[in-house]
Amino acid sequence: MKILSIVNKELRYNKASFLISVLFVSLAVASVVSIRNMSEASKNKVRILMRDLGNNLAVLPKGTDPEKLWAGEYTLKTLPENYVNKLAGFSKIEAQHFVGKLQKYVVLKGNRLLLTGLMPEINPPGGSAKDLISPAISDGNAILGADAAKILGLKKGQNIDINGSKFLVEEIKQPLGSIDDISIFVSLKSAQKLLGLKGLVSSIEAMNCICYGDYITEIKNKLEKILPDTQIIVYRNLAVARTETRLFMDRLGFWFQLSLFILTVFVLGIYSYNNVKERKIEVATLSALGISAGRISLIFIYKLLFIALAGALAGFLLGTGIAVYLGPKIVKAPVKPEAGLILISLLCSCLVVMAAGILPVLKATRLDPAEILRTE
Amino acid sequence: MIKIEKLTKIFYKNSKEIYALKDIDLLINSGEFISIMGSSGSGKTTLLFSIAGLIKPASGSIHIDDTPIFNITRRERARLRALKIGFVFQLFYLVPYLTAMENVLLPFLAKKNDPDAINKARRALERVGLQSRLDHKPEELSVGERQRVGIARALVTGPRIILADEPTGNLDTENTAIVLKYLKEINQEGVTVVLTTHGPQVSQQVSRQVKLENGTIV
Repeated sequence: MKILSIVNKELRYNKASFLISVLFVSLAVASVVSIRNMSEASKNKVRILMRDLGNNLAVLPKGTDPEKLWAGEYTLKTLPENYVNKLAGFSKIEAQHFVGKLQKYVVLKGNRLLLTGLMPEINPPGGSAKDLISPAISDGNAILGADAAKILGLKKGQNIDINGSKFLVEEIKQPLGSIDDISIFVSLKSAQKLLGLKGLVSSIEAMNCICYGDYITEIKNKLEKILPDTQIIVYRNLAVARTETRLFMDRLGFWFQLSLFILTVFVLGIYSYNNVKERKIEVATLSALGISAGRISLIFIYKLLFIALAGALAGFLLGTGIAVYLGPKIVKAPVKPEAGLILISLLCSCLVVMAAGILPVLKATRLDPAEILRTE
Repeated sequence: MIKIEKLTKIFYKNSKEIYALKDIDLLINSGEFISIMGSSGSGKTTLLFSIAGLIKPASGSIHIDDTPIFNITRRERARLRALKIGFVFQLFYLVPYLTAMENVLLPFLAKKNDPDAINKARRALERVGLQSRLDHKPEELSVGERQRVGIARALVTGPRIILADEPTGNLDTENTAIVLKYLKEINQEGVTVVLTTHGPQVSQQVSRQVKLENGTIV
């Protein structure tokens, strides 16, 4: 006769209470699995939205009015160029494609055009060259916006004279319907030389910044210390709104899960306690037969482990099902179930049954067999 | 051999001391068949459970084969019970979800794997005439059969002492006679049998009677 065999037979004998226990554990586990799956799906959706959004983080000199800047009113306020490296190397920020720009209007052949000096794109440490999305402009070369090329009557391969310096037109951009159409892009170094602003940029932009909620406030505060006399601008958008909703859901989910866990521990605790109480004669008899308290407690521990295993498996399947079925309706994103959550399910259910079962198991080992057998 | 010296057990009820056993001295030799007789509340079950090491006395000592059972740990006492003592209860205390065979196998839980456990359990059940009831659960057995399962469970590991707490208390005359027959047979094989009873007819079947009254031997 093995302890596991006793546990198995007792579970079969008391099927209903076993199934109720498993149900409670599986509900607690399912809540974790479904919320985590949906949260991850929402997070991925936000990443895609952020990625598709383009530049969504800008560092500007303090006092620059961003609205005026984006309306084309470029000022001469500047930042040190090395701020770009500082920003890209700041480990707390999750963004890519950092570019320093120096922009100022110049008049060429009586036309007001925007001279934009671009520094080679920098990615955070760990990023590779293939991650770069805009090729660096060589010194002595220029890229023209569609309208700028038209106004100046220039074609690819011709030279452009800017304030006495000659540049080879290496590319003419397609019309974009933006300020870029009247821009002349040159390397940052060339622009700095032309404008007499060596070592300076007028703005830093980055793409794919995962910037949301309280996190960005914290990041902004830290960045403004690292990059003095700057202001950090984050473009609010759908992704931000979605992330904030997800964070709200996560918070709500946390309290929901906690409540469910407490309820499960409570119900399972009562069940385990009653189970020990109902089986006190059995415990006392085993004790009288010479079975040690440790081995008797194993009967209850193994039973709890059975419940934990069954609850984890059922909860994982139930939670995954809920996430896959309800996820797209709730988080507006397809849910790809995470197989790794089976481990979290096991951990959660073991925690629940341990929290619920520890006192009843201790009670079982401390029962006084003589008292029980004398009085029954 | 069981040697009981100056054994006293006090229970407390509403802060009032109740002497369940008072200065009990008793020597039970190996191979004896002894009954402890007394009315309800006389202390006979307390004495029996004390011999098993289940009740710790207020004072006094019990030695089983020179082992002072209250000077050893709880775990060692459990081990001693598993090795040397078989228990028979008035209310049988069979585990309801296990078959007769499985109930008889329970004492092996205390031991390391015994490859012959199943054969021993089968033989024990055959010995008490239950070879056709091996796979029956307690609820499928008669009261007399349940007690016979209890006896099989007590003797399956080959203990040197059988402690029986009113083993016939719940049985009719016919089953009482059967149970006493089995206990006598076991005793004739050299096993010490100590049983409690409140009926003189059971006491007449044993080799020695001890009468308890208000916790003392009279």
